[in-house]
Amino acid sequence: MNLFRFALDNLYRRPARSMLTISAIALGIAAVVALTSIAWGFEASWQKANDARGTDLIVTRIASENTMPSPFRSEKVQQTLEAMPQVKEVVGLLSEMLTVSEDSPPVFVFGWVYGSYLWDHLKLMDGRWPNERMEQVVVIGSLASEMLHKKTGDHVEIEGANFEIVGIFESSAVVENGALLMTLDQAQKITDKPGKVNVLNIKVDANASEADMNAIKAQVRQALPGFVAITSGELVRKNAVVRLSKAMSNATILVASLVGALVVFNTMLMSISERTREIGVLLALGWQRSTIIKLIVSESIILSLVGGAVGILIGVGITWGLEHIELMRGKIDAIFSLPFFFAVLGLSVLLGILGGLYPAVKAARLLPSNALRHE
Amino acid sequence: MHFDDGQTKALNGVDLEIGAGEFVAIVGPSGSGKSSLLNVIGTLDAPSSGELTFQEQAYSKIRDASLFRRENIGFIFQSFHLIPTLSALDNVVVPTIGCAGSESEFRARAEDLLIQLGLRERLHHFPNKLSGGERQRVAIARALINRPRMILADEPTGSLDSVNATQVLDILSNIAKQEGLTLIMVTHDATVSARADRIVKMRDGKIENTHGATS
Amino acid sequence: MNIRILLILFTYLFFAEAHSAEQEAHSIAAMMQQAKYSNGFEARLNISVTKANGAQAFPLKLAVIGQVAADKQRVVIRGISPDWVREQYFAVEQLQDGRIKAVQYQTAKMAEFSPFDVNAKLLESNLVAWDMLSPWWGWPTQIFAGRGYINGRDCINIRSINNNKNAAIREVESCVDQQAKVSLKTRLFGAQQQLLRMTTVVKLMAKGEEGAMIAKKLTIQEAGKMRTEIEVYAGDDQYQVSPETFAALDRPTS
Repeated sequence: MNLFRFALDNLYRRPARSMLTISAIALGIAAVVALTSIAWGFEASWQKANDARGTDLIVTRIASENTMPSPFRSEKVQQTLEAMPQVKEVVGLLSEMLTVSEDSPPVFVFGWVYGSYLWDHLKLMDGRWPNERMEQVVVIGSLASEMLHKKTGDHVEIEGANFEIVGIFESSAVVENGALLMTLDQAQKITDKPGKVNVLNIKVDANASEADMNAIKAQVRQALPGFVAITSGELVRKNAVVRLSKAMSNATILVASLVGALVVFNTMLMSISERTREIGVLLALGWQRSTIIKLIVSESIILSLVGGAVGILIGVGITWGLEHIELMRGKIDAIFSLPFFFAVLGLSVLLGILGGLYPAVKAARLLPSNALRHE
Repeated sequence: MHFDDGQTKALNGVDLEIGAGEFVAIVGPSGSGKSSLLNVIGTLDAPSSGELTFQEQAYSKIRDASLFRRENIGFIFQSFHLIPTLSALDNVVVPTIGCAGSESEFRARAEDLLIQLGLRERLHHFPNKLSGGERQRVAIARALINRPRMILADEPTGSLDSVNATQVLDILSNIAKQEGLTLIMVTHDATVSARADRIVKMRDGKIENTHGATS
Repeated sequence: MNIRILLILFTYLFFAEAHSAEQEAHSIAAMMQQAKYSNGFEARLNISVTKANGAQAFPLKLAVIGQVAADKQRVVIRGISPDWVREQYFAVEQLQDGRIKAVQYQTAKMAEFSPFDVNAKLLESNLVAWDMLSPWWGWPTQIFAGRGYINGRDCINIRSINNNKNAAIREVESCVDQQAKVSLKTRLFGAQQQLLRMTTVVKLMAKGEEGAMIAKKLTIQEAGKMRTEIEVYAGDDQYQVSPETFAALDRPTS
C-alpha cells in the first residue's frame, strides 16, 4: 500500500465519475491531436515532397496566399539564379489543381522539366516514363490511380487535351502520390503558359552550409525584387489554409486544456467534499498536509494521464479516418511523432496538476476536528 | 486551560495532569466537554487560552502538528472510521503512507499487530465483512502502527455489544500496560470507566472531581 | 430672416450632397474601368448550368483571355471541354467611342469567321460577351443609389443609364465593393425596365496587392429561368498575349 495505490483505489471507488472525467479529457485531447497532426501534417507533406526530390530551396513570387504561387516567366530568373555561388542546378516546375474526371475532386497536376533530377526519387510501379519533352502523356501516382480508377493504357482529358496514361509511380510524399505528372512543356501547353513556371527548384552544392543558404536567400531578395527563396515548408507555412488550420489547432489546444482542467477541478472538488470525514481521519492518524495534497494531485494526474492516453488513441483514429475521406486523400499526410505524443501526455499531466491543486490545498487545510464531525 | 469552539465555552477552566502509562477515563454527560478535551490533547483543536505540555514539550511550540500526532498519538473512534475500500491490512498501513521507512517493514509490522489482535484469518477482508469488534480491533492495530506514546479513544466501545466491548477493553488495557502507553479514554459507560486507573468527571466544561484507583 | 438663411443653407447642402453623390458615382465608375486594365490575363472557368426545368447540363470548361486599356478592350472566350465546345472561339472588342465588334470562329487555324450577336447567350449558358466588356461603366449617366451590404461586405449602389435608346440593355444596377473593386451584384434591365439577368459574386479571392480582388465564384441568374454557376479554377494575371490571340478582331470587317 503506498500513495499511488491508494490514489488509484480512490478513483475506483467512483467508477462512473472517473470514467466521465476521463472521457471528457480524452475528447479534448483527441481534438487537439487530430487538428494539430493535420495542420502540421499539411506543411510536413509539402516539405517531405521537396526533401524527397532533393530540392534545397525553392524560388517563387512573393505574397501569394494561394496554394500555388502565381506563374512567371522563368528565363531571366533562372539565369540569375544559376549565376549565384553554391547553386548547382535550377529546375522549374508548374503545378496546378485541376479537375480531370467528373466524379473525383480536383487533383494536383505537376509539370516537371523532362530529364531533370526531380524525377529521380520516384519509383515506377507499372508502365514507363515519358519518352521525350513534347510527348502528350502522363504518369500518375498510385493514390491518384485509385482515386480516379485509372490504370496504364487508359486516357484522361486534361484541359481539353487527351493524355494517355503511360505509367504509374509511387512517391514517399503523399502529395505526389495523389498527383498526375507530365513534362513541363506539356503542362505549359495545356495551361497556355509558355515559358512559365510557378516554382524554381534549386539544388545547392553538396558542401553548402546553412550560412551559404542564407546568403542565397539574401541575394535573391536583392537581385530579384518580387521573388523570395525559401524552403518548401516555409512556403506552405504562409498559405492561408495552413495558417488557418494552425490557428484552429492552437485555439483547440487552449480550449481543450481549459475544459480539461475545469473538468478535473470539478471532479476533485466533488470528491474531496464527499471524503471530508475520511480526510479528517487521515489527518488525525498523522498524515501530513503535504501528503494529503500529494494524494489528491496524484488522483487528478492519474485521471488526466489516462484521459490523455485514451485521447491520443482516439485522435489518431480520427486523423486516420479523415485521411481516408475522398476529399482529403492525397492532400494531407498527418505526422505523428513520439515527441509530439510525449508533449500531449505532458499537457495532460499539467492539466491534472492545475485542476487538482486547489481542491488538494482545500482538503489539506481542513480542520481535523471539524472534518471528523462531518456527515 | 480554556477552549472556545466558537459557540460555547466547551472547556472552561480545566487543570489536569496525567502521568505516563496511566489509564485515564474521562466521564460526564453529553456537552460536558469531554470530547473537546480529548481533541485538544490530541492536537485536533487548539485551546483558546492555557498551556498544554507533553513530556516537557509545550503544545504551543509544536511546529508540525501532524508529525507530533504521528509520533506520539494513536486515535480510536467510536464509529471505527476505517476506509471501506481497503482491506484490514491496508487500513492498518495507511497511517504510514508518506513516512520514511520501507513499505515492506510497515506491512510486516501491520501483519504482526493484526495477528496479535487475533485477526490472522481476516488480514485481507474488507471492513464490510468484519464484525464490529473485529473492526475496532483493526482500528486499534492502526492506532499502534506508528508506535505512539499515548492512545486517545473516544467512546471505543460505544458501538459494540457487551461481549465485544469487554474484549476490546481487555485488549486496549493490556497493550497499554504492555507497551507502557498512556491510555486516555472518553466514555459514558461505567463498566468501562471502572477499569481505569483514574476517573475524571466533567460537567459544563469543568472537572467536577477525579478519583482513581490509587486515591 | 434666420429661417430663410437656414432654408437656403439646407437647399444648398442638399444639392451639394446630391452633387457630391453624383461625383462619387462617376468616380466609382471610373475606378471600375481602371480596375480592369491589364496587359493580358487569362481565367479558366468551370461552368455549370441549371436549366429552367431544374436539369443540370454537363459542366463546361472555358478559358477567358483579355487585354484591357483605356482606348481598347478585348476579350476572347475559348472552349476547352467537352468535345462540342472545344476549339470554339468568341472574340469581342470595344473601342473608346463605344463601338463593339464580335467575331466567332471554330478552330485555331482561324478559318470561317462570322460575326455573332454580342448580346446572345453563349454555349447554352447565361454567359453573354457584352457583359464581359462591362460597357456600362463608360456611360455618361451614373447615379448614386444608396449603400448596400452583401455577403458580409459593404458596397455602394450605382445605377448606370444607357443613353442609347435602341440598345438591349437600358440600365444596369451594380453594388460596388470599393475595397475589392468588384461589383458584388449586377442587375441588367431591358427596355421595359424588366430584369433580364443578375450576376452575383459568391466568393472573392485576393488579386495580389492592396486589397484588390476578383470573383472566384459567380452566379448568373436569368429571371425565372436558367442559372449558370461559374468558378474560376486557374488563371494567369500576366498572360502572354501573342499576335494570334486577338488576330480575329484585327481582320477587316467584310
